[in-house]
Amino acid sequence: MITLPSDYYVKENLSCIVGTWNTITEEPETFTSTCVTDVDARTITFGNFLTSDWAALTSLNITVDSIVNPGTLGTTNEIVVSTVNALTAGIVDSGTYTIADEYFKASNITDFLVEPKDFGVGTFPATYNFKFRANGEIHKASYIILTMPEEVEIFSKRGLERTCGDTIVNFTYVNIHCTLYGRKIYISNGFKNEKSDYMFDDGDLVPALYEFEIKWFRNPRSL
Amino acid sequence: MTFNIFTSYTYAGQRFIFSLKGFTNPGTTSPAEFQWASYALISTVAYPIDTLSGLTITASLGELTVTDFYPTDNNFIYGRPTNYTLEFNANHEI
Repeated sequence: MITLPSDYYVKENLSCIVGTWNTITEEPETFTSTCVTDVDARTITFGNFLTSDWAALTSLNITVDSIVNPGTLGTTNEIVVSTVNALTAGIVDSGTYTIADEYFKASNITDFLVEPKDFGVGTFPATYNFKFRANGEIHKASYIILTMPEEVEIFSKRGLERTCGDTIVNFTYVNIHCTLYGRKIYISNGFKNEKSDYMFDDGDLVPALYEFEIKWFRNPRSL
Repeated sequence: MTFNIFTSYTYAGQRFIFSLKGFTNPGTTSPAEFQWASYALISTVAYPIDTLSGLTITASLGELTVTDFYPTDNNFIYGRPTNYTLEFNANHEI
């Protein structure tokens, strides 16, 4: 049984073992094992795993497909692996493992859409609609940085900052706040007091699609 | 198990310590209760003298060594790798 710490997520799955490998014989092992995940407890339990005794100090390699990477770039909390007596349901052996600092990398936002409300060349002041979906939950006190391309002119710094107060659709009714530094727009307040929800859809993780508007741009002057 | 360890009478209150080998620890951490009884062997007949119960011993969890745990093809935070690999062994036969 694998018990993952709170910075991990486990997906619902009733058959999560991909393969097993005997690292001594360098041969695949075939087990008639069941595999059940518990999303809330973050456990993965292999049932009927061993049909015969497994020799001491012989490594076994298992691959499972139901784990989502943690939301930390630092050292993970302890991952606990245990063997359980099938008759008594008591834990017999237990060991822990942590993944080192900087093993995990910052993820990319792959679902991102920017759309002006008016597509006219050179239109100003133009309102732009931003939509994005992070790969996971967004932590409390996070902020967003938008870097605008040179083609889109910021028509009025003061106007943009003054009118920036939209709420983030699909999150909370907290109004965002914008501060402009060159071509970078720092968007705060949105996640100042609350982290985002991490949404499940049929057992899979589907974070919300966030949406907000910012005004006072000038559209590119060329097609 | 029966042991013939006293060759003569002992004083009351005298403390004995002896070691036994040949046990295998239990496969559970549930407390195991031991019972002890002393007998006087006179001729070939054993006469019960003392009994002692309530002695329990609780085994610790066995040691399992996790040698590796990593996502095979995606190490971005919140990434959804195809699978994770777990490698482990135990100090004793499972």
